[in-house]
Amino acid sequence: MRTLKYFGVQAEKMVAFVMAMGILYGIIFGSIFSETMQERSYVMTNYILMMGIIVILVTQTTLVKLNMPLVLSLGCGRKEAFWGAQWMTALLIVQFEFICLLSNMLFSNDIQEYAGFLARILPFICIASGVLSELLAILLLTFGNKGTWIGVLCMALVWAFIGFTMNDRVKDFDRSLSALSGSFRITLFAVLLILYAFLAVIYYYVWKKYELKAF
Amino acid sequence: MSELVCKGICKKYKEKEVIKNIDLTLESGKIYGLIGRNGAGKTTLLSLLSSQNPVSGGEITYNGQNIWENKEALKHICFSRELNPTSNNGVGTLKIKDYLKTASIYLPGWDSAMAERLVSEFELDVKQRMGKISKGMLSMVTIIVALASKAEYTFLDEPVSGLDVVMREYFYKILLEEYAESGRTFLISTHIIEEAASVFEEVIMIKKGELLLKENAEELVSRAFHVSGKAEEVDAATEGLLKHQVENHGRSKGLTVLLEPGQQIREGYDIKIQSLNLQNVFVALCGIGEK
Repeated sequence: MRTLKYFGVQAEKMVAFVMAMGILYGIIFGSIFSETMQERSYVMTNYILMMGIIVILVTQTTLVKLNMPLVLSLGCGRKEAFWGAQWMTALLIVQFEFICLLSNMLFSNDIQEYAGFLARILPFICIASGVLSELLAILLLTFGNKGTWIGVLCMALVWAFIGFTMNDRVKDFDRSLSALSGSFRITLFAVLLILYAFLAVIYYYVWKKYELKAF
Repeated sequence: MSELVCKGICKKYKEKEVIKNIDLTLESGKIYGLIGRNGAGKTTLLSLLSSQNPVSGGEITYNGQNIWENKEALKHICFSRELNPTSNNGVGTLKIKDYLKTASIYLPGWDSAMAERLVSEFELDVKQRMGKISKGMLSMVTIIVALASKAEYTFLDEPVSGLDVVMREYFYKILLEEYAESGRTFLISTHIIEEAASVFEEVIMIKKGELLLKENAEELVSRAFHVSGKAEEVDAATEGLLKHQVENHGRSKGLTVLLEPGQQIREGYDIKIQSLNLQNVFVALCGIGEK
């Protein structure tokens, strides 16, 4: 219970922070670039989701650097700390997935095609961020900060490549995505979850050997 | 009566053995002093005793149960580490109140009233970040966590580091008050030996990862003597005794002896025999050049 409470509170603090920043950005940038209230709401939600994905991506490395050593130093075991970290990531993914679904209901096909596209792809990206978060934590635990930077660099290069090549193909990709059957999407979800579980096992194996030093 | 028992524990970091085959029993209801030179393995030993780090060999048990990843056993143990945060990293970014809040969640016996009282007596501003406060204030935070944990076995790693003399005296006072009231077991590592000596019931001395001795503090001090005089007189008087920190000054000699039961310094020689304090004993046993 104590670990659910502690890591649950950490998750809600992050969600609250992201929501606050998203609303702030939405108000500032939405006022500049959008004309209608619905467009501004879309901008706000977009910022919340983008920051939420980044938060999910960096969660495990943040936990490995701060929260997990902290709770270890206060009598928590490694197994308990590991499950606490997973609980926090799960809470973040579920809540941002919920915002994705809400966004999909509110904005798809209403404002811009791009809004709808993001709403359809972001649920997968939320889980993929969780997967990458586990991977970054494994790299951090195994190779130290160097490992994390290598991981971040690789991800940045991959995303830059995708962004560059998809630049004028968003509509094509969205059409393809929309054309996918429900069962395929479920399969894709399942594959991401299995990948997450696989990396979590490796993460736990590496985390078990963590040496708590001065902090 | 509960016991925390170490059997043959060792700890290796890659090829380097930092704790070597230590057998140690901590009985409940005592205040132990853990003393050793820098790098002797004090903090490592404390981290093993509190299951914060795994042993490379041997076993540590609490009332017969292995403590590793044992939530029930760990409810009775608290190791309040020395904190060294930087302002931009890790614990340094936390506010004191957040650190204490986390401690209250994870330490089952947490006494909030005691923690608040100590925060007030130490005059800490709990809204300050850990990376921005002084070394002395960080020591106060570790003392608060240790005392308010109410853990049966409480370990403190250099709790008086950075504290001024007034706060050090205050720490020893509240430690003894808590000990008298609760009968908890404390294991305190410190470099300020002589100041803390009056508080220790037993002394655990480690040297280069090995247990040198574990003994009642008063008994240890009562059997330690510094013998000085002309070299031949000193040698004759201390023949057969184990000598430490031998110092030769021309024709004069000075050394420390630790008498075993039944041993004594031979009488009838023109020598000076002085009693030692705990710090002197430590220096004699662990000083530079002492093997």
